[in-house]
Amino acid sequence: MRPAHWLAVPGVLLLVAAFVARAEAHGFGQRYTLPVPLWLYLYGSAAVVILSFVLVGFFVGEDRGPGRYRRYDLLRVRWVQTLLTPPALLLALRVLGVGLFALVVLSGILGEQAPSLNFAPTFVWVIWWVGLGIFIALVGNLWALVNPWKTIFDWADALAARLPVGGLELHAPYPRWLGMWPALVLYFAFVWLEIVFAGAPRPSNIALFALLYSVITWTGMTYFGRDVWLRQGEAFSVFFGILARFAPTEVRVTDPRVCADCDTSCQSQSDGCVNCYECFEFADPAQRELNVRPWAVGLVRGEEIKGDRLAFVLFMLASVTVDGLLVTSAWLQLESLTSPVAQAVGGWGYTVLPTLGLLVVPVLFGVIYYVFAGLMRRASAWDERVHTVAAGFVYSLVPIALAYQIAHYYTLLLIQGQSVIPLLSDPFGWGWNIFGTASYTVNTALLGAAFVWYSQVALIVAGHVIAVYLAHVLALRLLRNPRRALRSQYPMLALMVLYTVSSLWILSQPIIEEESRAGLLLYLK
Amino acid sequence: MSRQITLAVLALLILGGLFITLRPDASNAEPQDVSFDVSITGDTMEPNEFAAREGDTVKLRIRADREVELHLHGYDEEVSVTEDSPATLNFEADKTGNWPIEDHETVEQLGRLVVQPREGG
Repeated sequence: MRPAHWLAVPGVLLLVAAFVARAEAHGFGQRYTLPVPLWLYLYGSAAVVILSFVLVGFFVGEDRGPGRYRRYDLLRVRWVQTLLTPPALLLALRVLGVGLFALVVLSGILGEQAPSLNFAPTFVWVIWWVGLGIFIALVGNLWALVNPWKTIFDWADALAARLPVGGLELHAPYPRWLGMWPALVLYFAFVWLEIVFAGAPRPSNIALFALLYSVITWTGMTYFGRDVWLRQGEAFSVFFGILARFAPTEVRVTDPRVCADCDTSCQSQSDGCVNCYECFEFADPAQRELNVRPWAVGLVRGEEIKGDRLAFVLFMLASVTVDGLLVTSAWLQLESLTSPVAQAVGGWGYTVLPTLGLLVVPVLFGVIYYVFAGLMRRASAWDERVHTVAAGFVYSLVPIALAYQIAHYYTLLLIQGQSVIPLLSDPFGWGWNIFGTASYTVNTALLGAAFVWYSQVALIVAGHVIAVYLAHVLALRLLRNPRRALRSQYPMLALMVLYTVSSLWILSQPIIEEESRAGLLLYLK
Repeated sequence: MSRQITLAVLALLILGGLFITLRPDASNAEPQDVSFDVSITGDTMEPNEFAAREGDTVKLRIRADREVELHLHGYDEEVSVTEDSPATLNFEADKTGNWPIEDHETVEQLGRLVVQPREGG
């Protein structure tokens, strides 16, 4: 069948969904936090600047570069090994992943469409997107284990292996120029749905997108091979994989020869390859490690970052900022200027400006970053292309975005996230009570406003401190000379202060709620 | 090493001092009684934003031109107002935050109650 025919059906459904969505989207993801007060915003900014100078002071005159980070292999501890490695446990987690995925799709299609009565919106937007993301960054990459698309494909592949077909994967060679761009395109689409699309909280839309994404993912896995697609095209594996670099746990294969055989050209160094799940599955148990390590060190392993990955990370960082920007009054003023045009066009007109924002801001972000990378190069008389400098340091910005994401969303997770408790008992909104929790009412006053303010500012300041430290570590590793490394950091420091202070600024903006605003952002500030 | 310790201590002192300086004095006023006269015409509530401090006693006297059931988030207060019988909502503002007031039937937000923390707000 011609591709155009395939696109028509979901396209029409999307259009219908968007218009019907508005009336029912209200009431989902309500936020009760107050904007950070001006004095605290100023204090946070001052603290960021002061601490930056302090850190520079720490680094001045430091001669020794950082060595390999300390790590401890949990698998050497008997009881941990017996607890974490039994195949039954791993299988149970995978089945849980698939089960939840199936529940999302089923409740999305069959259940009540009011978002607060249906399992799918709360589970996908709050528990999975926010909750799992934070878990992965702070604990470890659970997604690599429970990814339902991976699990279902594995099962289908194992089944096909028994039949004359002999397996699903075609292993067509993956074009090198294509790189990670498919993952970036899909991730862009996802972020667009999250912050621009009005119908994002609607259960049937969620189910529809999940199914569409499944088709794309399984097609990619079949054609190019499961692991190749997971690394280059599966947007969430790439996204969560980047977050997992911050995490205090890693999986590692200690024998570089195993890594050399890897389908996905995992970047192995002399101490093996880290977080390459393909190698981990393949390797001998004696060569496998499940390590505990300090937070954030996974971001500074000095791996080579090509243009496609650099673009992905930069978009990731910028989209976090756009998410916050779209609910500020400054943006609202911009929107009110263009709203006559939007109204004339009709329903979809309201998405034009935020979509432009989602396209323009990341490009602007990239340009500014490159400018500062150029300044870093000049400050340290570094004989490399600007692109190399930019790629080398981009991971050090991740803690700032991560801190903002957590600061911004943890209240949503703790408050709206509670509604998963009654929803598990009644996922379709039909009046069931499977686990007996259907009458649980969300405690909206769980967190006092002042506590939220202080914790948000503390998180952002902490993220900044970590980022400055990481950049310094990278500079020492790349430049080797401590004095040149330090000089290269002054522009980077300025960039980070700007980035962090703008995150604080967003948190201090009054929450905008207006009926004309489209999308989830209205309810997820 | 001692240079680093000196820097750290200095930083802590500066940050601590700055915090004390910038932070507004905890409101020395006693918790107050605040009351608002509210009228609902059609879909609009006038005024639609109410400010209070933590610990205040809030009274909302509500009139409406139709039958409407209001729900105050956070405090989970509900009150019914009709054309003939205005209603009063009385409660202590012990939960800080930004609390929507919505029309329970249509789930439309009509206004909000903002309760500022007593300390540092």
